[in-house]
Amino acid sequence: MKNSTLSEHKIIKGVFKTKISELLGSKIDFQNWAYERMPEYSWLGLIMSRYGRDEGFKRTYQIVSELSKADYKVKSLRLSDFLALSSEVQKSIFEIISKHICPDALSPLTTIIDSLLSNDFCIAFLPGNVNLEVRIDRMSDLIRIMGDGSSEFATDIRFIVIYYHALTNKIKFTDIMSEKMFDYPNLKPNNPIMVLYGSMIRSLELTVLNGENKENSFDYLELFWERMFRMTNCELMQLRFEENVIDYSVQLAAIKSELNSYKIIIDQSYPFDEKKIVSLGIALFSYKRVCEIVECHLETTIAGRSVLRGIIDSLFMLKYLVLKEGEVPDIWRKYQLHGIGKYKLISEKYIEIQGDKPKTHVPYEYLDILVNEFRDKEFVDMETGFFDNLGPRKLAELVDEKDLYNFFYDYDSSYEHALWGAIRESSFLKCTNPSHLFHYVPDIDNQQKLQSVLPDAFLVMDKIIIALRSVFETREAVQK
Amino acid sequence: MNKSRVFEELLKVQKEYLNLLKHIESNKEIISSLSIIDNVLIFWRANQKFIEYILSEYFKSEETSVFTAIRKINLIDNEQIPFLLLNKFHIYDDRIPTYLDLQSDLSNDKFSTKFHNDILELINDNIQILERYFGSIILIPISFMEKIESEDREIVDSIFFGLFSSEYNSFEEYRDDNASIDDIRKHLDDGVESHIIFSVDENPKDDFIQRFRAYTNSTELPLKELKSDSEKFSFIIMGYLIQAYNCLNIMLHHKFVPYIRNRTSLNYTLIMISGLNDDGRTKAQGMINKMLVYYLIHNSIDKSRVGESTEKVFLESGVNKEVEKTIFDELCTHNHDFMKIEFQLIVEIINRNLKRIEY
Ligand SMILES: [Zn+2]
Repeated sequence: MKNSTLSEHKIIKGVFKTKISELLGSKIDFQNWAYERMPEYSWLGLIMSRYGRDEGFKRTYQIVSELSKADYKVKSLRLSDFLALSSEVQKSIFEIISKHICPDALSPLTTIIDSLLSNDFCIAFLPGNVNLEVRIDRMSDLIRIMGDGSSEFATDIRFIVIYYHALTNKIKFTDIMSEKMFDYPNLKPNNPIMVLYGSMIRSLELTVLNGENKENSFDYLELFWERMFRMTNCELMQLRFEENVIDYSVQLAAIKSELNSYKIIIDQSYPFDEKKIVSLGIALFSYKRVCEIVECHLETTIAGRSVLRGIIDSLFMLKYLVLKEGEVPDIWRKYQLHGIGKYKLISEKYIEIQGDKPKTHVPYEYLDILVNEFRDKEFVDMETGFFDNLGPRKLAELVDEKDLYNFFYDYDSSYEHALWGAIRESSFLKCTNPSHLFHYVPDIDNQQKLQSVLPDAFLVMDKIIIALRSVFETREAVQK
Repeated sequence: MNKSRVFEELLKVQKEYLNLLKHIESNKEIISSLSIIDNVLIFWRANQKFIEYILSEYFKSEETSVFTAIRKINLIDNEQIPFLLLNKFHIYDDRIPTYLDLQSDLSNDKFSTKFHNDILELINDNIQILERYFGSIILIPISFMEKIESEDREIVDSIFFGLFSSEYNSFEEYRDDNASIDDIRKHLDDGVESHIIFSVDENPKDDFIQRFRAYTNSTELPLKELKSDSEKFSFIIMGYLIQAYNCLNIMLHHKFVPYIRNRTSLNYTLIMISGLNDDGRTKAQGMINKMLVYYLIHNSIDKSRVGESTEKVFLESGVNKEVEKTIFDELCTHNHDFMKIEFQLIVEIINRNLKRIEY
């Protein structure tokens, strides 16, 4: 199947939704071949897979024409329709089928249709030698080959379905093309006309489907999938990424050495220079976080992504402060007040609590001390919003880091804000067993590792160092 | 683990099973034996992953007893009551799926009728247990799930061959060497003869050959179909050994206590245990002790007097747990390996303490 391109996506309420996902929107979807019609026509599939194409067509032809002539009206070839009929009629249908095939061919279905559902089915098709595992395997093999509705195998079965409807006069063919289509079983698989007939058969079968009453289907389908799900194992698919083999210790040491030189310079010449202290602080905060990734081996974890996002935040802020300085000289002070204002809000709320104070990871008393470091504590505003009311997207634009925002930051934010994309990617595995309808499997054992964030973390860290250098640049010529 | 939520899920499985059994019971005239076994088999197969989880995570090892090594429970004799009174969790080994191995003989009409009736009897027992002890006794086909694989089978074979002084490597060799039960007796290793029990009802004072004849003449098909003594002998003893091997498996794999109620089963399980190495023995010690004590209590308790109503009283008041603890504490003062305590002393301690339950 051709992959749908982005332009084929319909935008629904701001979210991208592919045509396929529209189709599979609800589980009980009667347009869905694999989920709905495959279990219904699985008995035909078992016959076709047992006898092969030519012989399979011959035998199903005989069965289907006898069924179409029966006094009792068998309205479709759906198993659930058979099972809804009286015991007498069921017996007679299964007798007709058994006449043309070896009953063992349908034995895999006895793993689903037990005597609770139809004792007559069990009598007709339960093999003398009950080997359950073999039957389960055959059922699951069938789902594998029959699941793709556009495959040749599934198309053959869809042909039998419409053929039956033609026999019982539910559909009439007028044009020559349609009549010719009945040659389909005699065509050899590599005949180019097969492709044309194939698509005609599939669309015709869909037309037939629309006119069908599916009321008997629900319980049977539920049982079918529940049984197949429980009796077969998950086939887990997990993404494996190349392990990061680069040793970052040299780079990390270089960063540390550079940061240390700025510390010495501050101590030596600028002990009270807010600009230098604040910018070194931002860079140091990021450096410490990169160290955490390395030392705690967070590079392939969820935490690693949160960390990277924080480092990018630091870069945006540092570059913004440098940029804004010309216009707002006391921007460095303002930045501190904004941050401390946030702490003030927290510590004031804590102070207001009457009675038992909560014990948490937040050192409330210490926060108050930090707020008090600013002599004019009373003048510190309690802050709730972004600094300068600028969100990360705007900041990124202003400091010319839009790419970083679009390609890293947005993705990492999904992790930071527990959005489903991130949860799906990191905490679920995909099961590729068609008998399990490709469900998600919670990754309880923490098998799914993520792509390493380290190379990107160092890339951003380098940008931070470059910004920091500009802060420490001097135009004064040092004279002897 | 959210124990109560998991238990709820387990009860759902029990309820579904009860529904299936009732359906079979009410349609027993039309459903074939084969279909019945198959339906039960599919039911457990479909719940296998959950049951495996339950067995390994939910039940606390030594606090769980498994009622096993029996053909059927004797509900009229209230066998379930001492079982329920002792230990904390109670699993009843559902035997129906194990009948799968016997189905090849279904071509024999006489056998197939008996087979059908046997299965219906098991279905009936299961229904009664589920209805009367829903949630207290949990039905799980534990010995079926612990399928005897071919390597297990080899171990059991070698234990069987080990009963003889001659060295056999196959059943052909064994059969060639033993035409009659006299030959078998001659070839058994020293002291083994007295350890061979054929049935619970036999008189231990009777002669070996007499016991063998009495048993083979009294039992049903398919034993009667076997021609030679050697075939009959290996059929009987292998049956017991496999059952005992299952008990050992339950102990070593799940650390559950096999609840054994009859002499034959205990006898062969003890033969199996004697074959354990020191490490296995140490690991199983706690279970072996409990198994022994439960066996003795089961056979000492006056089940007719511990009726339905008193049982409820005991379960609720926890008196039985107290009695159980006193018995174990007292036994431990004598030896931590109960197999080393004088048999009479154990019985005496049990009987003295049981007086508190039986009134
Ligand atoms: Zn799966």
